[in-house]
Amino acid sequence: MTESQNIEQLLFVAFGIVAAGGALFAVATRSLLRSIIALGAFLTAVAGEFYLLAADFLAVVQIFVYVGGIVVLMLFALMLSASGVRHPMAAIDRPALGAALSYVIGAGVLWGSLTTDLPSVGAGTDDAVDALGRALLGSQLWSFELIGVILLASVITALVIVRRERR
Amino acid sequence: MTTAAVTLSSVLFAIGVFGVLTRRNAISLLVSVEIMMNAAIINLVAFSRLYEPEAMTGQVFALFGIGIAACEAAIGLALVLAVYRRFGSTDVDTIDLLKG
Repeated sequence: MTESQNIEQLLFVAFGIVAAGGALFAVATRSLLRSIIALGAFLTAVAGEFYLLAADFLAVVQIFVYVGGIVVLMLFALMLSASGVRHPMAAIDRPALGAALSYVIGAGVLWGSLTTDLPSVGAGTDDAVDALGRALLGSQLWSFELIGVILLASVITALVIVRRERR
Repeated sequence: MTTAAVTLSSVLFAIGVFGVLTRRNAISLLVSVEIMMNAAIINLVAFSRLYEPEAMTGQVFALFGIGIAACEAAIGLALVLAVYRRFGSTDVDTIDLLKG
């Protein structure tokens, strides 16, 4: 095992710890604002994992779309839906039941993934961005166009839902 | 590295399930769903390296997953605002007009 592989694995574990910690804080804190900021930290750490898994373009997309778009959208929705409240809080219901069920589901998925014999690392490609661009404008062109239509439809739907009716 | 990615993904998915089960606020529910969705996308990216890396199927799937998540967040937050205007709260337990 070379030194760069060692560093990659170390970084993978470090990003994983940040991601798991951020996710845990996001679901466990009662403050909605802190929950959304922790989600931003979690998403950034996941972008780091994407980079280490040889998905450079996806890492950039993750930061642009998730951290720059969805987290900011959530912050705006929070501010608009908690007018007059300085620090919006949310209750956590039935924590014991939720912990038990999520433990069972997580243990089941973990058991399945750890007992399956997975190859450690594939060949990969030298230029992932090049290959992804060729796939998007080649074999996957129809799905690429379809996602554009879906995005447009969702934007129009969101506008229609929040529009105030004139009387 | 694949085993590590799959392990991380299972842990994150379980955390997301915990959030969905215990939260009542609509925005918190969306946060938890995004965590579960990212856990799934990590799997797609990890397996993209193993099988047919030239075809980029896994990464294309992941890209579309991120796109769908953006649509979901836009419509979900629009619904949150609409519900807040009508009910004055984003707590999903207060939306009980159809309750028998």
